Amino acid sequence: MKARILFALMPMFLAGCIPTYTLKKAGPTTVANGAFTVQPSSAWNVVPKDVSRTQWEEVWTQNGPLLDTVAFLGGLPEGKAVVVQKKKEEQRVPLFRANMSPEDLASMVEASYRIRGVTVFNVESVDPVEFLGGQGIRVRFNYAPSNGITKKGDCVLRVIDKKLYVMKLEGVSSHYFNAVVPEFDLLVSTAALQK
Amino acid sequence: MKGSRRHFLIGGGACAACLSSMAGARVLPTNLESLVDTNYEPLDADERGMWQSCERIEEMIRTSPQRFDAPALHDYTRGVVERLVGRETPDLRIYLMRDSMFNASMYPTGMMIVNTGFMARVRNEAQYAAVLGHEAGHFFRKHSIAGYRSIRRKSSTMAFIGAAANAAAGYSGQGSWIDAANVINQALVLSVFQFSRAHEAEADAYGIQLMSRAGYSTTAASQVWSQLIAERKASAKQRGAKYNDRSESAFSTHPPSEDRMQDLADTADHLTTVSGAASADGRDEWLAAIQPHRAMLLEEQIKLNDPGASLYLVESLAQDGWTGVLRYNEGEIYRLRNAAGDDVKAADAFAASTALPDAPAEAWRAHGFALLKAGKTPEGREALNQYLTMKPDARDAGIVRYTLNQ
Repeated sequence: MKARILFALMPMFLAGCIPTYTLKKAGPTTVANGAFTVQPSSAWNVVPKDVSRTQWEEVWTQNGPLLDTVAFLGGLPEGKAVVVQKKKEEQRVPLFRANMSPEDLASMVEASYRIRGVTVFNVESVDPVEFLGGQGIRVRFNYAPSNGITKKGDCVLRVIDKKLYVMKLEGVSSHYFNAVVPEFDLLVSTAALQK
Repeated sequence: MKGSRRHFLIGGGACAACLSSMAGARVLPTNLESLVDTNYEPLDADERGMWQSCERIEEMIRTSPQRFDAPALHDYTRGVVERLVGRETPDLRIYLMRDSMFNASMYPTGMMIVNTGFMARVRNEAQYAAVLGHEAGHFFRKHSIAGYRSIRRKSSTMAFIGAAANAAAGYSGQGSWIDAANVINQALVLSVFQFSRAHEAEADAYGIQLMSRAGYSTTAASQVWSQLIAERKASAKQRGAKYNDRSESAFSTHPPSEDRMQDLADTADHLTTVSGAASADGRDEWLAAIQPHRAMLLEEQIKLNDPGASLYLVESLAQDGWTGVLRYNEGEIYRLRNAAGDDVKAADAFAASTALPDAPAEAWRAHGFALLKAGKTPEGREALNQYLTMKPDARDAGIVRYTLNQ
């Protein structure tokens, strides 16, 4: 009898262990472990942390991570990568260095897709952008994952005091990307370093 | 799904007819005849089921954004296949795919897939023919259906196979055609790996026999494998890792690559002795066909940032002489690796590239940023201006102009 009760309660216990989405309401809020603040105009879902992301990253979504995401990377130090990777991995994203040129930073973004098996990756533009109170770079791109559903991306990056700060929008090309662009632009324009 | 060049030795094609699988026995030049003609139709329910699954995969491939749109190269590829089989091949449909993994595969319906990751590593037409001949061997010897029937006889695997077939047949688009193909492939391979090994041996024998008849240098088949092994060893050495053939697993259809390479070399020697006929490697034909795509093929590999493998590839191609494109890619390898001293190596390679007549515009951009990093501002600005002159509509022109205005 006791075993049956335990068995019946097991799903509830396991459900408690599963990381859940939390709601981020509109208005000023801190992101990426408090590295900087942004001011969303609508509510977002915060994607639970998982082992595939570095400790400096936080991810939000409006319609689910398969359709759209906004990632925040706050204060990645020199010698670290924007993704979790093993030292002896065959294909690796270049480690971040504070003296990286705009070309190097764009390559870093591209490599993070290539090493995941993306072969068709196109940089649409690389432009200067105002970000966190100074001049950063903005990389717009699209890519074709093997599932045939093309995605678009918009990534802003800036190096401040030898640390890397990033905001990246990614979404399905057909609708979701364009739908989130205005809100992403708002997030970029309101982003401010934590005092 | 993580793409890794390491996995070319694990498998990953379709219907147990993948280039990556290898033979388990010494390859002999047997006299194998085709079991398929141009009007071939599936014979029974087993085969029809297999065809339906593969046709769904082909639908996805046909509309995939990964299709490599290169009509001349497509026709060239068909020409090589037709030279091998000695007739026109309306029953074969060839799809060139932008996939950086070294692979090619053959489906029982007559669909052949050739990856750009394979093309990037080929040195001559005979090597191209060696792999296409092997794949044609699977098709013309009907290996997929034989493998499928073999596992159908094993009741314990029926449920798994049924699920695999359904996954492919009822595929709704959430995953990829590669995933669907792998489901079928793994189902077959896991169940009948010994059976598959025999097929791989037969496909090797069939392929090399076709090469001999078509007048190709048969040593090209073993060269393909020796180049791959050397590349993987270079990659492992660079990373301080141990070279792993990954073919000794119980689930593998293939023996160690070095064994296979030796078998193919022995067979080539035997055929050369027996036929005594002249053979050609078709190097000039290959270079003419691939030249328009060389920069893209190299870019796909170099941007994977596997520096040992990439340096091996670039230096191997440079044995015929350094070009601006090769020097630029050499610099890119160092720029992406970004280890101590790599900034100097990259800068030297970019400078060398820009001194050559075929230097791509991107070499001037890279040269410019390298000079700026080294504190050579006037020279760096001059190089970036040259980049914009050569490519005024460059997609990164905005940030380059901004840099120049600082």
